[in-house]
Amino acid sequence: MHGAAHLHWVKFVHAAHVKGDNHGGGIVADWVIWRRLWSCPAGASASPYCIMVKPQTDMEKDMTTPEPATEMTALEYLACADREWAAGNHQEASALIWKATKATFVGLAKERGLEYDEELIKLAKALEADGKVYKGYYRLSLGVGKLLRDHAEMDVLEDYEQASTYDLARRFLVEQHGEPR
Amino acid sequence: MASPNSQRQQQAVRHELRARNFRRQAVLLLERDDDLDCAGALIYESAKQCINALANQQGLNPTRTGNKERFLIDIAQRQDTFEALVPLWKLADQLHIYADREHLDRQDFMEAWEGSLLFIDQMLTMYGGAQ
Repeated sequence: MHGAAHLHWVKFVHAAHVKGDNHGGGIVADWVIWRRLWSCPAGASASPYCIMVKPQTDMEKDMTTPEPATEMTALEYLACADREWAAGNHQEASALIWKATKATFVGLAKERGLEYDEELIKLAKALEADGKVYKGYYRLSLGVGKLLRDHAEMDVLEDYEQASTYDLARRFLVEQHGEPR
Repeated sequence: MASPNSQRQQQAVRHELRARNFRRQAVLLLERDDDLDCAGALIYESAKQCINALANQQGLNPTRTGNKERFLIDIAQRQDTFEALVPLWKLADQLHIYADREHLDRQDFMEAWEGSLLFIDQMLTMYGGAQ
């Protein structure tokens, strides 16, 4: 990893489906945006390498096109989020922080042998059950992550709210994984 | 003519009353009518009034919501409760967004609801403790 640039594909705006009118042949446009990011050494600015936008047909969706990259780790998501944040791309940073948060919860579940489902809230409660953290630690961290998810999807946070929410979510991730390199 | 300090204390009392009224109305709306978006909006207002009350009590008057949040972060850091108080405020904010977007499922709404009630309780306790 050291010094070498690593390439990641990150799927953005996955929730921002643009379901337009049918155009010839009943194709529903379902726009998928992939952004290619270089995982650069710390301090380097975010540099989206390219953005590919393509309408995806129902047939294409059925073909289960493999995603260009394997899932990143929570720490890798956090590093990407920091670069996007520093570049002023706050919605994209928020989406990445949410992915990092989810990856963290899934990792904790596997580590402790806990079952989890899509909702994650039961998992957050189960993680608090041993009393090693204060009541609400995981639930609140999940809630803050979800607020950033909402911002990523709907642009709902005012400017003044974005930084404090990002800081809170980031603090949780750093507590779990340490600072990204 | 009342002194600025006395005016602030009067404001604090008014804001505390509003916070309690908004919360009571919000709980009623949820329990009686299952009106999630109105209840969520009122709980958010109650949470804001709590911040106002505490700020007024300390001789401050944060008018904009950004200033309210800065005040909250400041007191949370001073009281070493940052971990809980600010995230709880964020849950109240989630209800505020819900009132416009109705984007949360029932489980997420209730999580945000319970967290917001806890935030209001903690703020009113701090307010009462400083009386």
